[in-house]
Amino acid sequence: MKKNVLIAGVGGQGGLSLSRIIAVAAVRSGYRARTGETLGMAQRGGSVFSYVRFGEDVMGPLIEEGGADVLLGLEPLEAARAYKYVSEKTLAVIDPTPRPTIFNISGKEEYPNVEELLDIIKKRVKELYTVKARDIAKELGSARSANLVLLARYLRIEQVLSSNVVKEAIFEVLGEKKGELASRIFEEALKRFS
Amino acid sequence: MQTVGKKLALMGNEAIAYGALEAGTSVVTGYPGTPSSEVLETIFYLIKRYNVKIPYAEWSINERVAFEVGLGAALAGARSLVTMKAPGANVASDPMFSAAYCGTNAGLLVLVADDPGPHTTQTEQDSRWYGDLMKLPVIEPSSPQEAHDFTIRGMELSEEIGLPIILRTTTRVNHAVGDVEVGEFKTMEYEFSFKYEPSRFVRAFMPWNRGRHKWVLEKLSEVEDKAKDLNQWIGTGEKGVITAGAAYNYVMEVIKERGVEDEYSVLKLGLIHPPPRNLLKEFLSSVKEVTVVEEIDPYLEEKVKFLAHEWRLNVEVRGKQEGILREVGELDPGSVKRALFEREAIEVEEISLPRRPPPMCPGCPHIGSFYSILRGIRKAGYKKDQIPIFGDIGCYALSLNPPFEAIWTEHSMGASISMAAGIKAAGFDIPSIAVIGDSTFFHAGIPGLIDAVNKGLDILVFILDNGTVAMTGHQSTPAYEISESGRRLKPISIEELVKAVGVDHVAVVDPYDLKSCTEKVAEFLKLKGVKVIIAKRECAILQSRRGIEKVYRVIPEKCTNCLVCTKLLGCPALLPVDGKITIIEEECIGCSLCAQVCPYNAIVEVRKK
Repeated sequence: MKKNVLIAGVGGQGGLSLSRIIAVAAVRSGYRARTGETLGMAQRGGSVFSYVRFGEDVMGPLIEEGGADVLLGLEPLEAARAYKYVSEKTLAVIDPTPRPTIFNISGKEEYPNVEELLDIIKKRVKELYTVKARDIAKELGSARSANLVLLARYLRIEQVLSSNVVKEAIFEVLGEKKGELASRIFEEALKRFS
Repeated sequence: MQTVGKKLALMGNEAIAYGALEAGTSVVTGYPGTPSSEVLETIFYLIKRYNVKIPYAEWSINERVAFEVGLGAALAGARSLVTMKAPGANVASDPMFSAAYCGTNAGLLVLVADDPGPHTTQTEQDSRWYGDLMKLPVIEPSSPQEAHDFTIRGMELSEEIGLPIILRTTTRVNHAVGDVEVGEFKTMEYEFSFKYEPSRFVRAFMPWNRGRHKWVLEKLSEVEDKAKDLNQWIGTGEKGVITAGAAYNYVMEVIKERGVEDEYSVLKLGLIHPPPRNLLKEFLSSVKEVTVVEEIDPYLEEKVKFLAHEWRLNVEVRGKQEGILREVGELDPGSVKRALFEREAIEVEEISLPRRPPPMCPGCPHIGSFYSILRGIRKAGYKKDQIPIFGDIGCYALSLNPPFEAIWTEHSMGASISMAAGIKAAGFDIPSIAVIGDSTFFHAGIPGLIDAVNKGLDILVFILDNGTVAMTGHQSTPAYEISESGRRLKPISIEELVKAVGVDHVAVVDPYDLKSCTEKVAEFLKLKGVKVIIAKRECAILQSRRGIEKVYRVIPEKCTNCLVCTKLLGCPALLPVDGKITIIEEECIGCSLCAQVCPYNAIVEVRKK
């Protein structure tokens, strides 16, 4: 077994924590794991790709072009930006809720058409699922857990990590306090997608 | 400790911190810089979590000071670790050169984190060359586990050889999370070992310097033998690959994936400098051809070609100089695959998508500062493009993006002040502005300011004082009262420091008060002499972590959709939806800037319960 997961999102959406949670869960499940990330520039609000690779034998943190088994997109423009990494073997789960860029906010550019963005991925992958992860997470208690709602959606399609191990990993990465709410949202989301 | 022998999912930098504590490191210091900062942060975390007793774990004012503190501590007998990003090594380089001549008593490891890509660094510097220049050994891990192991081994090796060692890493090791087996933390007992020995420590007498130069060359000749365990030779095939660091992983993965392990011999170097000559000779003699796969410069490639020539070996050596791997940007499995099996770079189809550079955070005090600087320039009777704004390293470099497009330069730590002074030195009678953050000012801005005052180069220095090293994750500055490790600090006041230097006009302003901030900029631009404006307001992220008391809301009936607020401020909490402005409540920190610029008083304060 080997899974190459690419998480695409905007800095601050929880992509990095999600990659860490998956890595911790994978190591706790006895796999080898590697993560890496590609940041736009500073910390918040820029494009961020996070890579997680886990399985019996993984070494480097990067995924090669066309090499993603899974694309978790926290935002449609950022998911579209991952087009080089997906292929006909890829399973994509994307939140279609747009986050405007600084050019949109300052009135210099219009945000692209969301359907067109999703199409970039759709025509390249095996299957594309959209899920309003942010809205669901907000409804369940915190928009910050949109990342875990996406993960829950994916794990309902491919049960590659057990939900208990993921919950342990959530606590390890986020700490007791934040982990409490986040793991509950994860659990609720799993139920919702069953 | 409860983690002994356990496999943890650790980031390379976290693994280095675990390794340092397992090696009994007693002094840890450095200056924050991506991708190196998490080493000290993890040390602070581990100190608290496991109640580890360590004499000194603190951030330094800059990398040079950090290295000198580490050197002094290591000469006194304490194992020391100093951390920095690649440009930090340039700052620390002066004392590092001399350190090769005096050597060390206890282990002294200098982490230098390079950033192929680059992802978060001004240059794609390959710090391996420092090994040759400084005459210091360089070792390089390829994974988080090796980052851990090489930290321990490097500390021992430094002590065995008597030289500081550079632990060179790249982003794909520092920031990669992997499974790492950790051991037990160790506290080292040590005695005061610094002795009066002027020929070793005083660089003022030239014959001693020649003697020490000879000494360090002899020391370097011992390294290969002592560091044998750092290198790995895999396979017996006729096709050779020489590699190091993160690139090693890509090499092994693509060879395995293709199922051609039998055809290849891979030499992975953990010891980078001095090059392990005996091992290389044996390897080069055993293969017919060699591809050198490494990040950034063709560093090993040049050495290997040189050695092959020196030994008159009939082996073909290929790498970046033949164009089969790129020198610009980082490597990945795809590029290594092409280099090994197809030997030509393929251009992948490009789709053009809108860029998403990071904006300033909602409520960032720098938004107020840049609004005021640009307004102040106009108020003083100038056009925006008439007055150069010299930027510096920190979050405020984001002012390069809309709506401000403010800074003309972002060069190197502290350069804003001295480059701004350079305009005046060249004799131009136009105002010259430097913008610099508080930590960057402490790090390297002070000498430039002293020189400007001393030489009468009348610049305006705008210090963006958000009270922290924000961009790298909110590390302490010399203005803190308590450090991350719990040490009571004597806070240094920027205002008093600036006044003591003799700056002609000093003002402290609140960047959340746009009117007075703008007026002060306009006023100071017209004055002769060196002027300093300190814009003081805590980083927005720290404010929001402490809790927000009020937010702002748009009254839809009053909002005329003029978009003045978004176009002037670019605050990410202001969201234009179908031409109408809304404020994302969970993002707003209540800075009031949008309410101040709204021409229709359509934005109002709402107290949070």
